[in-house]
Amino acid sequence: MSNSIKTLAIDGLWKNNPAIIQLLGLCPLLAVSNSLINALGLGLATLFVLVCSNSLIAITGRWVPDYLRLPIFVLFIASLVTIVQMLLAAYRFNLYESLGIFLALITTNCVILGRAEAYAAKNPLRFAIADGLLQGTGFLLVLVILGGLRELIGQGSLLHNAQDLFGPIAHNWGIYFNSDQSGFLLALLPPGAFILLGCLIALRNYLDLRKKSPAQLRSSS
Amino acid sequence: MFKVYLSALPALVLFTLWQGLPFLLHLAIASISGLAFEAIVLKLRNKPVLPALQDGSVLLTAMLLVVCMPASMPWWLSIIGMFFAVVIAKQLFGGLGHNIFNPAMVGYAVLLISFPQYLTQWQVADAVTSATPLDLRQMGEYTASITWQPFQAILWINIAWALGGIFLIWQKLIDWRIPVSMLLAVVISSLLLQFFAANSLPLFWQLGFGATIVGAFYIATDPVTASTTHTGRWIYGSLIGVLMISIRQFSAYPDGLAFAIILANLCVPLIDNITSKR
Repeated sequence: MSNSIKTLAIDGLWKNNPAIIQLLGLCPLLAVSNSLINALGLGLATLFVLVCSNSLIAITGRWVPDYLRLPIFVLFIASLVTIVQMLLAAYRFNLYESLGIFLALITTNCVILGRAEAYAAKNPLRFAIADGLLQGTGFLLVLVILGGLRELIGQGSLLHNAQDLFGPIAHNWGIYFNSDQSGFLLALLPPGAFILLGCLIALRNYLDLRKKSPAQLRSSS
Repeated sequence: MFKVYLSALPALVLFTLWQGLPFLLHLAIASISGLAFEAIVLKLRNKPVLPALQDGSVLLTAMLLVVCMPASMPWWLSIIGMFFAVVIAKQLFGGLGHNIFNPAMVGYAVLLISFPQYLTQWQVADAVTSATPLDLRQMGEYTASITWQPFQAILWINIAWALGGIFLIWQKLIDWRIPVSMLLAVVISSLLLQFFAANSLPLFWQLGFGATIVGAFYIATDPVTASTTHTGRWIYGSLIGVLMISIRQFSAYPDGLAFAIILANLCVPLIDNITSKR
């Protein structure tokens, strides 16, 4: 594994994206992506936890005995999640309500434990922070694209309830394409999330395939 | 395939008389958009286009989708339904012969979940829309005093479907086991419900309304998605019947045929595996 920020960026954002390549953390990805603001809120919370847990684990990793590493990592992650949860409950109560159980479930998000195990425990602090930042951003991007698409198709709006995340200043940020907020309801329901995620994965594979030479494309299809 | 259309013709004519010209318009839109989707996806998959368009399976899907929906719905609904039927349910799973789920029912289920407001109002007489008895039960407005007179068109259409289905069985185009087991299951489970559950519909309504008859003869018998063994077909048909009546009785949806068929389709690999002789 090369330790340059550039490879980390390519890995986290595209080549080894946690959401559409590793397919980790699908439960929150599918469950709270029903609106752009929910997706952005959960994505940012996950990003924050991932960066903090990666740095904590990079600092303490060498003192943690191998057989105890899982419980200790989970404890770190759980305390960070508790901090995020309390902050949200204090300052963004509506968002806290609409994310519900999935905020607490960030603890069990495999992206975070996966990065702790696979990268942070074995690498120096600054690279662990960069890795957390980039993997978290990769996850956040997919979450936001999925949330935006589902909100747009499902109820014909974008940034509905933006004040839940950005505060009172964002009261009129919402963009509404139809007046009664009715749309293709399936996109808001779980099957719609699965279908759209499948489409995103297919699109990414298609873009990857197109970069290969035509001969390779023919042999692989 | 020609004989299948021939057998459906009386029911389609009655449907047109009942619902008027918009029904034919929906049928045309659904057929053309379905063929277009099929052609586009086959082209993308580098597969021959013409043979697949000529086998008539898309047209059958379009017909089965449109007869499930009231003609008063907006015209673009059938395009969305056909997109999900042909692209998602059929071609993404590998095309005709590889699809796990019945395409027409997937399209219908998507529309029913997404646009319930358009799919529950049927035009019963000139310029009068009403919910069918199945919908009325769902809204808690069903009473024993409701007679079948306002809905007699539905009855006639279902009789036409049944006659068409019997013709298909006589021509050995469909297996008699599936419709017989499904209708038996419908009769038994609705009689049981009548004895033991409050607010249940009499047997006559369960058989004569909703998609019971067309489902038993035309939709459940789809050779691709139905079970392939003799015993398996008995199980498959009864499963659809019981599930459909249960969904009508206990869920928030007036008719359960689409969901029952999709759920039974899911069980088909298991049923086939258990009942096939090794």
